[in-house]
Amino acid sequence: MAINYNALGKQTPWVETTVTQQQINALCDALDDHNPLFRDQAVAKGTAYGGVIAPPTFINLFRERKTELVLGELEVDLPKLLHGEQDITYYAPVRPGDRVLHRVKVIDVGRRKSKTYGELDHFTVLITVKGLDGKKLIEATQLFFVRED
Amino acid sequence: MTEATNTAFSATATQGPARQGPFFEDVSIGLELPSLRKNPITRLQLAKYAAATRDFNPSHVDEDIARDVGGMKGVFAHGMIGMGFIGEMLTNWLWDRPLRRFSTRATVIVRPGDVLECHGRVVRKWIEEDDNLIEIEVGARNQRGEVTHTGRAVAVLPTRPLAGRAQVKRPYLLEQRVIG
Repeated sequence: MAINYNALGKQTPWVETTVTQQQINALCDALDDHNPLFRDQAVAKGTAYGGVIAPPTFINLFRERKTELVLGELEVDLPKLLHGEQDITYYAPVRPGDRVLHRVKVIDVGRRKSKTYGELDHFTVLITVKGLDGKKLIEATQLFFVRED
Repeated sequence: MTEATNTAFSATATQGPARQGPFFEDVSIGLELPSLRKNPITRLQLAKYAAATRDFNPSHVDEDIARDVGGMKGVFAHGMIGMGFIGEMLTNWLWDRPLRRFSTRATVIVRPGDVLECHGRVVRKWIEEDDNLIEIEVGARNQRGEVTHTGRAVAVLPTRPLAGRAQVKRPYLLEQRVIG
């Protein structure tokens, strides 16, 4: 079953969230990453960042209504989904307490041959995280493949 | 609640001068970053990662759906867990030097029990506007030596301040400002 290519250009509304230390801790715990830059204000304060920052892959937490986009618009059967690539661009550090806006947008769709799975549909979403002042903080493109039945 | 702390970090936190990340001059092309070998991936870890990112794709947490609907012979790790591990290796080395870009491609499925080892190598240095940039080729392998992730990172490093007069061969030339 093919995905719905007409979902190209579909996007979630901008959603406002507050970055919390708890979210950062949960991600670092899951990764088993104990770098104090992400948790220990006393250590992080003495660094060039001047305080605790979110880890490099924190953008994976910004997914408000993404599932709705993937299931409802792209019509993907979730167990057939594979996350192939992610390309993150950093504009400014994200810190606990930051109030930010994020949006998920479908920016690419297509079909290609894969060595392991034969012909596959693929799509790319762009996740943009910006401050309330409109300045970009992080941006990532995520390429997904959808296996056939 | 006590946080587990890596001893290598706590040593720098409690004594001596504050830790600094690498300087541009000190990083040579071909430099290998300290590799990072992670503990075997567990189903519990996948559940924790799903909860942390709120990515509850059943392929990663529901054995029955992953096997019977997904046809994947059981649950497998979020591709982004491997990216997270590589990110950990990068920040361990870069410390407070910021990443500008970081990309990975998941090339082989990672399953519970797999042991990933992350590696990185500096492949390029250049200057753009006022920023000193380095490119690091990164990746991860599983316990069978299969490449599970490939990727690249770009980081911004500061330069050391100018050395100062003590190291100048003929200080009087500096005093006379013979060049400029």
